Amino acid sequence: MLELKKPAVAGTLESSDIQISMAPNPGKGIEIELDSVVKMQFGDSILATVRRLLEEFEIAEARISLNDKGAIDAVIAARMQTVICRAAEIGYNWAKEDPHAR
Amino acid sequence: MPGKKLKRTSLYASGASVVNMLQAVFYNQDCIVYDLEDSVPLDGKDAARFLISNVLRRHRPEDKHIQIRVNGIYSIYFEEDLEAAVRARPDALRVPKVETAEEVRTISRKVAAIERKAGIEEGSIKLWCTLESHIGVLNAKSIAEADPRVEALILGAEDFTASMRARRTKEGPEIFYARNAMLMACRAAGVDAIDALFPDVNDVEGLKEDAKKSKTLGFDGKTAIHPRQVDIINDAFTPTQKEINYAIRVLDAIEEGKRQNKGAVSLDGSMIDKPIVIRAQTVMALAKAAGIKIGGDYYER
Amino acid sequence: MNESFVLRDMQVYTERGRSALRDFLASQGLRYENDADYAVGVYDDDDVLLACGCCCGAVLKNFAVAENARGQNILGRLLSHLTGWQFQRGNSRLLVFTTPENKGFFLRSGFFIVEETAATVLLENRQNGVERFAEETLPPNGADVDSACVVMNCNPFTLGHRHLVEYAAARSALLHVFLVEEDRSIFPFAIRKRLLSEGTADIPNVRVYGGGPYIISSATFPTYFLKEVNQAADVWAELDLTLFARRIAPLFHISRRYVGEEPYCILTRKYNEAMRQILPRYGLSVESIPRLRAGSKAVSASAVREILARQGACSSLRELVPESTLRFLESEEAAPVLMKLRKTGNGGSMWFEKRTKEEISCLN
Repeated sequence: MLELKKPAVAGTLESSDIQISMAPNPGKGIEIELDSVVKMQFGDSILATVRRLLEEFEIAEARISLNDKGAIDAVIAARMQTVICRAAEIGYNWAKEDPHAR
Repeated sequence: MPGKKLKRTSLYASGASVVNMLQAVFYNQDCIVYDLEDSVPLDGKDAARFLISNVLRRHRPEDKHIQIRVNGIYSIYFEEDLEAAVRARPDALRVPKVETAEEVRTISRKVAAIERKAGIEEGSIKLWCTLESHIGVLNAKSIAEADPRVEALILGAEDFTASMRARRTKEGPEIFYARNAMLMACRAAGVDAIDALFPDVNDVEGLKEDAKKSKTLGFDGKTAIHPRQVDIINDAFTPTQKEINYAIRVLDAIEEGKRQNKGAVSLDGSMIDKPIVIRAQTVMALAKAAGIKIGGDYYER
Repeated sequence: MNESFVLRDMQVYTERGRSALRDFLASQGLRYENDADYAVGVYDDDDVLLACGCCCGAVLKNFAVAENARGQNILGRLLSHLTGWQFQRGNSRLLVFTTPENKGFFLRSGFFIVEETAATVLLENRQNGVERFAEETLPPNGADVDSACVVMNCNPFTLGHRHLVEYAAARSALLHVFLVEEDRSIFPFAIRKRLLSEGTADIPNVRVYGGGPYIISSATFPTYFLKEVNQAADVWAELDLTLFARRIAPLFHISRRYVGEEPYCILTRKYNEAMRQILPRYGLSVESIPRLRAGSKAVSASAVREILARQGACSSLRELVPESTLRFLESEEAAPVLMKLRKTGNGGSMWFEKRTKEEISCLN
């Protein structure tokens, strides 16, 4: 399980971006707040991407606040990767998807 | 010559701006340079790597030459920039502030190591080296010849001017020698030469003149700093009718040579060697991109 | 690269930077408060300043966008940048004070209303902040007992404070003591809290808490958006007291608030008057008790600071402060604070420049 060490933020409030802040949430699991300009149509898909990244990084406890201005999936994923590495104070293993990666 | 990507214009897309990166595909620049360097603040380098990585993986523009500008080789960001950038599989890495051939070889080795680990065809990612200082310009030829990956040299005039303690102007006498020196080095090494940017976004006439100058001197392309400059620069690199006519003749001579199974071909008493053929094909590609109508199948050769 | 605007640090640690900020805010009809830790400006191609925003501790303020630059979400860029900067510094809980007309933008940008009055609104970047604060602060049991409260600054903790706490604790099942949480006072918050806790440790039904961002300090309340600077006290009082009465009191089951009478300080007196008007609207009662006296004078923290400034820690303090406070004042640890007091007289933090003389004369 990856543990978050401190609150962190990534992304901006500009159009097509998403601002994500994450903080440790000891003992309370995953709590997500979403505010999106397209919440009705895409709320579920945004949350799906967020959960996918949380699983990928094996995060079980976090308080996450999302302020979406219409970001596509690739952008949401990028911002999640950024904020997770900042909050957990870890580097990213770029080689993890290499063939024969250990 | 289908498939060859033109290099008339390069436009940066800042890795710090989602809007910038997504809009980049809508302009007519030949090369998109996704930037990790100057347009990205120090506390945003990590975010920019992830953004460029994800966007290129999922939304790679098809008809453009894709480049990623990494931070300088001596910066603390360089190593990780390579790890991320190489794996994003750009057509080329744009390296700022190159000064020696040894630096180029070092970079090439590091890129090769990552290509191997990532299962990318070794040598497929090229290097575009920016010369931004007097040392770089003085070493232009050895830099251009340093490694087979080197595909182009770019003149970074703003920093070059600073290193010369000169002042940057529109007419450009302060970069006069640098332009020519770099061009000569590129021709000697057989790589492309990209001219410096024109700094005044609002001066359309000035840009037209400067771009014409770039073309006349022999440059293969120019860096644009704003989408508004792209079409103007593309125009300037449109071949003249004379150039097109000559290119047609060269290609016809080659065709004829093939039909007659001749090894070597000549035209008007001179041998047509590989560089001349490549040049003719480039002229055709430029003409096609400029929308010039030519009968026959020259655009396919 | 393709953008026409650029964000730059305005370098408020220089006179040049502060002037530029002051002039721009003035041009937008806003007042300049000289306490920004960091200010960022948005400039166009010709280096003309189009917009600005500042950080002061965890508060984001002094937002202004020139008329000709509106409609391009420059405010969004400013806010994104300031947020990033704050998080990097370790401040993830951010506050904004602004006018009700401007709340819409912040509500769309990840901020939530904490409290709102006709004149001002306080927002923060987390939902249900007050509820969470109560959850984290309240003792685990006995929370729903009918309680009273006292709000103090304790700069430093005196026998007068002790008197108020004793009085209130004797008349309540549970007494919540909220300490104003800021570091503008000459005694840092951590020390004020410690002295308060030590000085009331023997009273079993007393709980001491930092007030967090929800007990609003008059020292840090921004006034840049107010048309008249002398409105500041009233606007601050109304916001703080409404927030207290409407949201904090119910969560802590508080039905009574005790205050010491204020003979000297106009600001505090105004505040107490507002308290007597506002709290009853929410079903709370206010009781004010006379100050403890030592001889002919009321015991006050400002009197203590006077003595410390003039004479240092001396025996005449014995009739003004408890043992625990005196022990601290005589210790090594107090040396930096005493030196500051000696240098600046009674008070002397930066924020004084923006307050009236009467307001300065007290900080209880």
